[in-house]
Amino acid sequence: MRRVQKACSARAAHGLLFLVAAFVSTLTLGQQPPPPSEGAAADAIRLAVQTVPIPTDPYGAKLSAMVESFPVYRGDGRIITEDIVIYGTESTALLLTEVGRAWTKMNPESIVTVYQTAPSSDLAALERPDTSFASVARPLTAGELSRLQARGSTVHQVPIARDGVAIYVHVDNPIAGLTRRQCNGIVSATHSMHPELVLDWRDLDPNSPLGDQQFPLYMLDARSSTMIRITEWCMPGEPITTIGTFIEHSASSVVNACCAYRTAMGIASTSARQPRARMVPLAVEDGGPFVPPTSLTIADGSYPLTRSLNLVFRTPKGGEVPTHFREFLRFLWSEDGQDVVARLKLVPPDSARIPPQLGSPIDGIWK
Amino acid sequence: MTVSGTLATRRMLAVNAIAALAVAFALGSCSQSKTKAGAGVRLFRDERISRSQLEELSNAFADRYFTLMVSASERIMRGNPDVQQCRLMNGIRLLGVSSMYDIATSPDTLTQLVDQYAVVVLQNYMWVDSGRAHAIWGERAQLLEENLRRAREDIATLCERVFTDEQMLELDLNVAAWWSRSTGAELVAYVRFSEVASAKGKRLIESVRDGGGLLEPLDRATEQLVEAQLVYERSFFWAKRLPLFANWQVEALAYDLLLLPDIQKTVAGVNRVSEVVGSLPALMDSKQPALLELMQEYQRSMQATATTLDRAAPLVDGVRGVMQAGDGTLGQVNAVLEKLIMFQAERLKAQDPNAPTAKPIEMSEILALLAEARTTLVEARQTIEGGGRLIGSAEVDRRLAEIQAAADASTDRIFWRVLIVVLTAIGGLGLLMFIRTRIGGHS
Repeated sequence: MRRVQKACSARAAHGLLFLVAAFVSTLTLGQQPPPPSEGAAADAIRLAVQTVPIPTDPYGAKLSAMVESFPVYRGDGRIITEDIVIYGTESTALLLTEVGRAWTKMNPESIVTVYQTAPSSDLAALERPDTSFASVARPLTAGELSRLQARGSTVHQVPIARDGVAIYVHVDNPIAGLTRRQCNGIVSATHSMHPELVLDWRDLDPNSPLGDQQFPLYMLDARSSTMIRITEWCMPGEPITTIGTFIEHSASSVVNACCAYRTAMGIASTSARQPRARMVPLAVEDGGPFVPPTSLTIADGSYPLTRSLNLVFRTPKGGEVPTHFREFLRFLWSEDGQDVVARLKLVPPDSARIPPQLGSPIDGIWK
Repeated sequence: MTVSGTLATRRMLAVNAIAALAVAFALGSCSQSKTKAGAGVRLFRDERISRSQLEELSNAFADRYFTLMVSASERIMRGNPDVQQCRLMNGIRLLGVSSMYDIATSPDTLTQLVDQYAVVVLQNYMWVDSGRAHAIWGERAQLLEENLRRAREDIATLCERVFTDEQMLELDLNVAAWWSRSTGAELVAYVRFSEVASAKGKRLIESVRDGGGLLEPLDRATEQLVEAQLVYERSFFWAKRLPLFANWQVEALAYDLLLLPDIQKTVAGVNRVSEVVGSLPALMDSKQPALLELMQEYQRSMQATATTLDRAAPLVDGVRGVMQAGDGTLGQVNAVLEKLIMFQAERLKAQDPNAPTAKPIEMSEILALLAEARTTLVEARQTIEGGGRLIGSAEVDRRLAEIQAAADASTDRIFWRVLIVVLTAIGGLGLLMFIRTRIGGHS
């Protein structure tokens, strides 16, 4: 005990000494460096940025029509003061962050905080007392539902957007499409549908200009909802190969690799798309048809790897949905909320199927 | 540090167990570990990275980034007949690399890391993913695209040594959210994490600083002192690389000169930019008003270089003498300077004494700045080449000793004040216990 006390007093003395020394040294030495020089070089870059035409991802008329089919949000006149805390998947984090910013503009006293959880632990956050919603990029399984309902609560799932899981290649890569069987050969370690593991471009297309160059395969963690979705589709129950694969932290990093490297292939959400990477059309059967991932094919479900992005929350059995939960969900299901969805390259849910937890808009207005 | 430590130990021995007990009581929380981390944080000791390791890796990344940018820019600029393309590439490497070194020499190691991460990720969005680099340079852009991606991979690998998986997701989210709101016209090389981060993102950095990640927790009490001591080392790191930026600024000037319409006419028959650059001094003899205007534009960037060079000033204190510098970067700075001086002299000589008074063009200011830059470059180079390792030099030791003496004097006063307060408190406590015992005895 005495030794501990001595150690503490030594720390205290050192602490005092260093605090004073740090203060003095800050005065004498701690000068911040000046900012880097700009000058004409910066002007040249600004000019280039302004004048060079860059391919854009237009918020087209059809997507615009989808957004406009949602009710207008006006609120019921009450000031929402409760904060909203959301834990969940990487696929919805940016969407919920931006919707949260828009929500707080309307309700300055209600702050939305979004935490990304480790893959597969998204629902565990619902056990935390401060959690309002968990975001998941898949429907809940029966086992998950029963586990969440075990404590006498009602579990609600509200779809907020849709996206697809895409196979990305460099924009100059001419490959026309991939079949489910080929995807099995690319991603599965056991490749049950394909005679051998597919490692180079000639295995996929004998006429590929990339020839027998191997493709590095960029993907997210195997437990991510993106990889779970592709596993369900083309390799149920099979492990993901580790040969020639690179695990990235985010979908944007996966797509960035495909933008930069001509031989790369990546698996990520369609919402991460960029002009220098191309999403390859997919086919369930060998002969096609090959369906490209677009807003329309995701909305009508014809693209094979479509998925629904949902918010999950619990209420006491028979209890009402808390007002601030309901209002936040109504905001998400409004023209304003879905504008954020479309701007972030996601696809709105079917506006004709308003979840019952939200009630009904009156004359196209949430009020 | 050693002087301070000795003093502290001596005093500690002198004040015996009463003061130790009192300080321990007052700072009861100090015996608790500072390495507590949130749920899901990996805490294997051998996974942790120390601040000095991180410092070295961050500097190494800045050098690696430089190499990547130089090779990519060479690919674009060598043999490229398009002066505008060369000018732009030179500008990007000048801003990108100077920004990266600026970050590497900033005071806080953890901030350095997240700033480097933010800049590189944003540069990838800006130049690679959007297709902007390809739209400007076509096939020549391929290596730039690949090298910016490699830089992203390198800095992500470095961040993974400091941040947990969930913290990495948070970093990415902050940068992605900022980019989704940006106009795409910002100079991303100048963006810093503090501008990009939400309040939650800033809290994340603070939690990592306190041990909530894979970085060894920083002792808040010593943090500033360590930072102050690093100023010298960072100045040294920066000064070694300064001639490079002077070189690129001269190149930037050359490209801008070549884009002047009259000079374009002069060089219309020349295909290779490098040949044109070689004949630049001759072109400058054409004495065009547009050239003078351009020189004025460069005043700002030259001034910024001079300011940056000032950062090396503490290093060259105590070092005197002028070094002959007729080669390499200094040679190029000198060549331009000599030409400007000649140009100015000829202009003055040719001036009509009867002409009406016109607003003078402040060439003298530009010349003064260039001269200053040259002098400082010469001194910095002399220091670097001749001075060896500056830490440990007599000049630096003297300044550190002054700081420590001041710290000791202040500590001495504070120490005795604290001791008086503590003894008074203990005395009061004893008195209270005595009174309570007496009262208890009576009841």
